[in-house]
Amino acid sequence: MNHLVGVVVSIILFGFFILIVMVLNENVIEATYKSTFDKGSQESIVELVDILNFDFPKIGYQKLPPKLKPGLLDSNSIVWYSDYDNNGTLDSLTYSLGEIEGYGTPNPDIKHLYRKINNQNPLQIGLGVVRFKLTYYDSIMTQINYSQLYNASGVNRIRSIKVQLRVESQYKYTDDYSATYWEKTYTPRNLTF
Amino acid sequence: MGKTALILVLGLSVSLGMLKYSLYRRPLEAVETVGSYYSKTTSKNIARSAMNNYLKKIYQNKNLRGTFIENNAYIEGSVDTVIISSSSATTTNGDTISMSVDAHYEGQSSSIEVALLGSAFEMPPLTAAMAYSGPNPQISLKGTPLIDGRNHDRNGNLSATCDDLPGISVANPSDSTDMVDNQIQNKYKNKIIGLGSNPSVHVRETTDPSTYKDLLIASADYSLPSGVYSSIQYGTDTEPVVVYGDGDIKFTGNVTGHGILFIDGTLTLAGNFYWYGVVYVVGAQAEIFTKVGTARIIGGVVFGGDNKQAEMKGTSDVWYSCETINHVQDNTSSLVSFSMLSWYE
Repeated sequence: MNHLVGVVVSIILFGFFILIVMVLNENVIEATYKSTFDKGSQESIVELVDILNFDFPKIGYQKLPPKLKPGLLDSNSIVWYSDYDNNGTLDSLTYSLGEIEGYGTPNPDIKHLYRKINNQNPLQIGLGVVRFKLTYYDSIMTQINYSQLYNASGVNRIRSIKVQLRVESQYKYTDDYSATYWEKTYTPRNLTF
Repeated sequence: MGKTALILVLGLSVSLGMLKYSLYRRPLEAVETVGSYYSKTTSKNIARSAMNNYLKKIYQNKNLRGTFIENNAYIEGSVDTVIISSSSATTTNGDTISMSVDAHYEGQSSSIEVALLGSAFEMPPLTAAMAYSGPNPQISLKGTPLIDGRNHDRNGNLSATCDDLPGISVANPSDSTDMVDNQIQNKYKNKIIGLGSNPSVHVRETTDPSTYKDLLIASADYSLPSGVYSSIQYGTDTEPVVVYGDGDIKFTGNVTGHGILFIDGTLTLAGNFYWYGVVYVVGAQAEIFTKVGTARIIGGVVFGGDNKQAEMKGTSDVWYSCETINHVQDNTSSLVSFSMLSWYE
């Protein structure tokens, strides 16, 4: 009889143990997925920021005003001139946010962010971009209305550009997508002369 | 039974170890990513700091050139190489100065290249030893004055290097007539010499110094509030300076100066005063007085505005010297400023 009780208790204890291991396993998998997605969006934003940090400080380098292109500046696109590779030839650079991808990714908010040099085909940069917002400021950090950027006099007032960027994972685990947010206000020195 | 338990424990240990590795690997990689980004950002900040620091230095020393290596100068662990080069060793008008910075931090590097254009304030040519730019000039001569438009060298000896100028220039013929007929006594007519017959008073168009007052204020080595200044030397022959007097200035004792003296008010000289360069006097009630002692200006004097008066007593000389003016123009480092042509990072 005692032997039988021992077996039953052992089975119950083993069942608890298996249950604990399964719960633990599920938590670990969730944490792993989450950290993987977090890391993915973080890496994506760092790669993007590297490119932005290379391009934006060079705005207007070796170009007389207007150093940005009137009529093509708004909240999610920008065109400027600079000899970005310092080879003595003036280039034009375009950043623009495309439409929602709509396919190929389960995250419905992800859009294409394009970088275009001169007349080359635009290249998609970054993964999982859901927000790319540009705000323009004058010399006393007063925001310039987008409607004032359609002529050279408005564009020539620009001294600083704030970039806001949000990247999300393509997949979500449980209810949320992993997201990383970054923003920076660039004050390209070449816009001051 | 014992072996089974051992295998179970070992298996469990391995499983838990793998779980731990799996849990920690991603955060570690994330930290590495952030660390790399931080290092890159820091190296950029170091480069900007170094460049801004050396921009400040070259503004203070216009002829700064060379390669500068600074270990740990800005943030610990960084090394910055700064190179300043130009086609000329001495910055003059129109020179381009190239500056570059290489900064390193924790395996990341950043560089900045900047081009500067040297530009110098150029004094407008003098039109006389003593020039009045506006109408209704006044002059009162007593003692032993000499206003000499003949060219002199920097030591005050006559020189044929440049053409002679009038002793005095005024803005229009009626002022010239008034000055010669009514203001200069006969006994002093031969004390105003230079181009033409005595008294050498001619009509010339002279730029009002007020128009470049702000430029000279920005370049001033000395900015003097209104007051009395005694026994002092401004600049040297090799390093002339710009002195700005903001209001009525009186010099007493032994005062010597080399460069540009710009007085926005009344200039009173009551002692031994020697100035090698150009003296500009502007302001609403701008006047120049000499009282006692010896006042000698080798270079020239220019008045700005209307109704300006020179009252000269004692031994007071104004001798035109193109050599002195050119020397001041070429050697006053504070007259040189920089404008930034480009910034590449």
